[in-house]
Amino acid sequence: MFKNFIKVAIRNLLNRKFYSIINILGLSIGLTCTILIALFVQNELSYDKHHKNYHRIYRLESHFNIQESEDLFAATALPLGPALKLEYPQDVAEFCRFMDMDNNLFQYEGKQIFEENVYYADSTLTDVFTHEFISGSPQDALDDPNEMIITESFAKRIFGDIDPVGKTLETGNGIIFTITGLIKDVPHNSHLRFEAIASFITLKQFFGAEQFDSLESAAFWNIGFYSYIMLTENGDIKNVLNAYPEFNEKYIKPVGDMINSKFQLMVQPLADVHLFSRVGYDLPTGNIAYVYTFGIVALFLLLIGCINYMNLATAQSAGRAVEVSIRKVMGAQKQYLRWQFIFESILVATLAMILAFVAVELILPTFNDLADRDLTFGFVTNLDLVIGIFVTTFLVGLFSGSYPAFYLSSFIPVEVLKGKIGKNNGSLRKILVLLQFSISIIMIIGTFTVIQQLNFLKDKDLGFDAENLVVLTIRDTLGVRNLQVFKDELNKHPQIIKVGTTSSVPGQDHAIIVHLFETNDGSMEEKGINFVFVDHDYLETMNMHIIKGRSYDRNLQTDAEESCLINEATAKVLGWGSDPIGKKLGFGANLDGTANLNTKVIGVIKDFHYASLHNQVDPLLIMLSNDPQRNICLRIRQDNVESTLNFIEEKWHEFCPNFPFEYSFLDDNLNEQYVAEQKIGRVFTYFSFLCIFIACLGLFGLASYTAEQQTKEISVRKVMGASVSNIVFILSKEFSIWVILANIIAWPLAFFALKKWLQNFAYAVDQSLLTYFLAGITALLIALFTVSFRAIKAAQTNPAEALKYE
Amino acid sequence: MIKTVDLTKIYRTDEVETTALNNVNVEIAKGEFVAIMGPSGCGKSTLLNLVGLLDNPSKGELHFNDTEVSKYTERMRTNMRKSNIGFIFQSFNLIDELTVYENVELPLLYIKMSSAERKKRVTEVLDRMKIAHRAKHFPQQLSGGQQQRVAVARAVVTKPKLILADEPTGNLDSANGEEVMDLLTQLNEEGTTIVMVTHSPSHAEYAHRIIQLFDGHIVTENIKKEFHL
Repeated sequence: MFKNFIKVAIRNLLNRKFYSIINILGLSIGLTCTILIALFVQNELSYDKHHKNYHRIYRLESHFNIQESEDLFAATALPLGPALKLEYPQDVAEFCRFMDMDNNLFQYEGKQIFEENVYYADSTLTDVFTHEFISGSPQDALDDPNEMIITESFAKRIFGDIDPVGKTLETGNGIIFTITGLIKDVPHNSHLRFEAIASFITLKQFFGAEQFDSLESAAFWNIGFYSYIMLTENGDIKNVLNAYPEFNEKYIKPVGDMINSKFQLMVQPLADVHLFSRVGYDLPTGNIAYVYTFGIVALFLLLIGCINYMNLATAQSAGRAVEVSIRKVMGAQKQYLRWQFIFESILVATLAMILAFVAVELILPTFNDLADRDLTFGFVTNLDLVIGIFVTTFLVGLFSGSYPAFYLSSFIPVEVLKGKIGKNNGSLRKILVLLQFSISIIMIIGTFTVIQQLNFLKDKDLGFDAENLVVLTIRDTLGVRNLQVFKDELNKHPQIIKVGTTSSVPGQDHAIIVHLFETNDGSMEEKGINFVFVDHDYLETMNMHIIKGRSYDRNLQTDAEESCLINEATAKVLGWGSDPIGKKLGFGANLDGTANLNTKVIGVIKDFHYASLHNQVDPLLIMLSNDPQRNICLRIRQDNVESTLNFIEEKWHEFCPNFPFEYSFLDDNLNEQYVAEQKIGRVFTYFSFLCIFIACLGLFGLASYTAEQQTKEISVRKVMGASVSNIVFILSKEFSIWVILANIIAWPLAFFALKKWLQNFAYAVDQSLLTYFLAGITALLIALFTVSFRAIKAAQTNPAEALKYE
Repeated sequence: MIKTVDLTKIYRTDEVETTALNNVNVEIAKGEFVAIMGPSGCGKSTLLNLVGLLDNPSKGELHFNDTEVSKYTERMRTNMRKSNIGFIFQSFNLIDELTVYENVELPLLYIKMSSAERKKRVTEVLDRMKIAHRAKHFPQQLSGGQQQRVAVARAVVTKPKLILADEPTGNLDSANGEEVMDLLTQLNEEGTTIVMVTHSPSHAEYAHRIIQLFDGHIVTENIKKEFHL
C-alpha cells in the first residue's frame, strides 16, 4: 500500500512539474528561513547554558529609588556578593565579582597589544563558572594578587605558540601579571565575554584593605561591579529574596535613610541575562522581542508556503477527481485516501526540506553577516535542531495536505464518473490568498515603518551637532597629564575647529550620584541626577546651546567650584520652572547632609540626547572640571578629513606613545545604539521580500491554473472581439479584489504590532496612513504584475487552438 | 442476489426536483446476465449506481444477498462493494498515474491481499485478458479496446460475485466491443452475475434478460435466453 502511495505521489509530481516546482520552491524557501531563524533562536536561547551550574547561578542587579526617580543597573556594590554568602550560607554557595579593567594595554618582550575585554574577577570564577583549562591549575589560578588567566586566542596574539603559563605581562600602567592559567576561548554565546581575567585580590592594593573588605553600609551604595552568586545544591533564590528585608535593614538601610533612598536587590537567572536583561550599565545583550519576532516571521513564511500547496492542490482537484472516485469504487475508504494525499504533501515537504538543507549551507555565511552571529549547522552536532526540522517538515506536510486530503476524499464517485465534477468556486482558495497577502502586507508595512523609524533616529535633532566630530579616548596616564598641551597642539591644525574634553560623550553611560537641590521653600533635598564633567571648550565643540543664563567663563576662576550648568529636564524635574538661574545645587551629597561642591545654577542648556532615543532626555548636570577628562572631542572641517586624521594620529603618538591610535566619529558611535533596530530592519526587508515572493509564486500558479481552466472562455471572448487587455482585466480582477481586501486584515494587525515596537523608543515616528497605502499598493502592483504575466500569455493564445481542443 | 423494493432516487437542487428512479422493483438472480436499456436520462445509470452501492436510494429497499443495504453508511457500503462487486465503465476510468499492472492490482490492495497472492492474481487475469505484454504501460499508451480490457481485468481481479458494466462498449469500435462482450459472457458462464447498461440492442442480446427503463420506471422485461441456476 505504502509503495503505491510513493509511486502515485512521485508520478503526480512529475506529471505536474510546473505546480510541483512552485510548491517545492515555496516550501523550501519557507523551510530555509525557518532553519536559519531556528539556528538564530537556538543560539539566543543557548546563552550561558554551557556553564555546568548555570541553573544555580544568578546575576545580582541594583534597583535604586532615589526620591521619585527609579534606576535599574546591572552593576552592583562591592560587598553585596560576599555579604549575601555570609548571611545565607544555606542558600548561597559562592559569589563571583567582575570589574572592567581600565588600562588595557599589555606588553610582553617588547610586543604590545590592546585588548578591551579584560576584567578583574574573584578566584571563585572557576568554581562558579565553567571554563576549560588547557594549562595551569583552575583551583588556585586567581588566588593571589597580580595573577591572570588568559584565553587561547589572546595567548596566541601576545605569546605566539609558547605555553604562556608562568610568563608575565605588563600593563600600560606598569602592573605586572603572572599568567597562571590558559583557557579555551569563552564561547560566543556568553553574555560576559573576556579575553583575560586578572585576580580580583589585585584590586586590594588600589582600594586599600579597609575599603576592599568593608561591609559598612556606605559601601553598598557605590556600584561598579558585576556580581554573581551560585546557590547551594538545595538552595532557593526565594529564600534569599524573602530574607532581603532583614539584610537590607542590617547593611543597606542605614545610609539609605540618610539620603532618603532605597535599594532593592534584584536577581536575574544567568541563562536569562542575555535575552531578558533590561537594566542600565549592562553588557551588550540580546532581546527576547526579536526572538519572538523572528519566530513569527518563520511561521509566516511557512504558512504562506503551506497555503500555496493547499491552493494549488485543491485548484487541481478536477485532475485528481477521477482517480479518487475510481479508488473509492474499488473499495478505498475515505481515511485511506486522506492519508494518500497527506503522504503526497509530506513527500513535497520532504523534498523542500532537502532543498532547504542545501540552501542553508549556501546562505548561512550571508545570514551570519546579517544577524551578526557565528552560527554553524551540523547534522551530528546539532541533532536537536535536525530532529526539530524533521518534525516541522512532517507537520508542514500534514498541515498543507490536510485540507486537500479532506476536500479530495469527499468527492462523490457517482457524480465524478458521470462527468459532473462539482465546480469548485474556490472561495477557500481566495480566502487563503487573502491570508497570504495579509501577511505579506504586514511585512511590507513593518519594513517601511522600521526604515522610517531608523531614518527618523538618524535625522533627529539631538540638541548638538554629531557630524564631523572625532572622538579619542586617552587611556595613558601620561597622555592625561599632558592633555592641555596635547589639546593646544591639536588646535593648531587649521582643519580642526575646536577641541573639548569630557568625562562621557553622548552615547556613553553617564554617572549618577545623589545631589542636593534647593526646593521652592529654600530647603535642600536629595536627588540622584546624572552628571558629566566638561572643560571650557566642550559645549562650543559640540554646538550645544545655552538657552538661559551663561556658559562657563574661562576668566572666572570660581566657575569650577561654585557654578553649574543644567539641562532643561533638570529644571523641570526639580520644579524650578522657568527661572532656575541662581538656584542652589549641592553637587555630590555627603552622608552628613553636606555636599562636595556648593554650586549655583548659572545656565540652562537646551536638552540634548546624551543617551539613545530609546529614552527621554533625563536631567543632567554639566559640571566644569579643571582636571583633565579622558574623552577628547574634535570638531573638524569636512574637507581633507584624511590628512586631518593623519595629523591627529601623529600628535597622538607624540603624547600617548604607549597606546595605539584609535578614533571614532561620534555619529557612527551614536548609530551603534541602533544596531539591533538596523539588524531587524535588514532582516524585515529580506523576509518581507521572501514572503511576497512565495505568495506571488502561489498566485502565479493559481493564475496559471485559472487561465488553463478558462482557456475556452478566453477564446470565445476573443472570437467575440475581446482585446488582450480585456482578457487580462478579467483574469486579474478577482485576484486584485482579494489582495485589496487583504489590507483590511493586515492594517490593524500591523498597526498594533508596530505601535508596540515603536513604544521601545521615547522618540518615534508617527505611523502614517500613507505608509499603509503604499504597502497596499506595492502588494497590489506585485500581485497584478504576477497575474498579468500569466494572463497576457493566455490572452495572446490563438483562440482557434483552444476551441479546436474543446 | 439483488432485490429492489420500490427503489426511488430523487435528485434535488435548490429549485428543481428530478425523480431519476421511481418505485423500481426488480430481482436479479445469482449467475444471471441482465441488460438495462432505455433512452438517455431514463435512470439506467442511477439504477446501476444504486445496485453497485455507489449511492443511497431516496426511498425503497435494496437487498443484496438477502441483506437490506439501502441504509448502509458509506463505510459499510465500501466494505460490501470491495469484496463483492466489480465495475466496468464506458470511459474505462483507469488511473493515468498507474501502469496497467498497478491499475489491475488496485482493488486487491484495498482487500489487503498479500503481495505474492496479488502478483499471482494480477498476472493470471492479465494473461486471461491478453494484455500481459502491456503490463508496464500507462493507460494513455493503450488503444481504447486495450484500456477496456484492462478495466475488465481490474473488475474481475477480486473475483466478485457481481459485475456492473455501465455501457462498457460505448467508447469502442465494433470489433473491440464484441471482444468485451465475449469476455463478459465468458465471465457470466463461469458464474459471475452481470448487470450491464447499454444502448446497443445487439450487445443487449448477449444478456439473459433485458430490462427497459423509461422516465425512471421499468416498462418491459424481456427474457432473451433461458436462465437456470
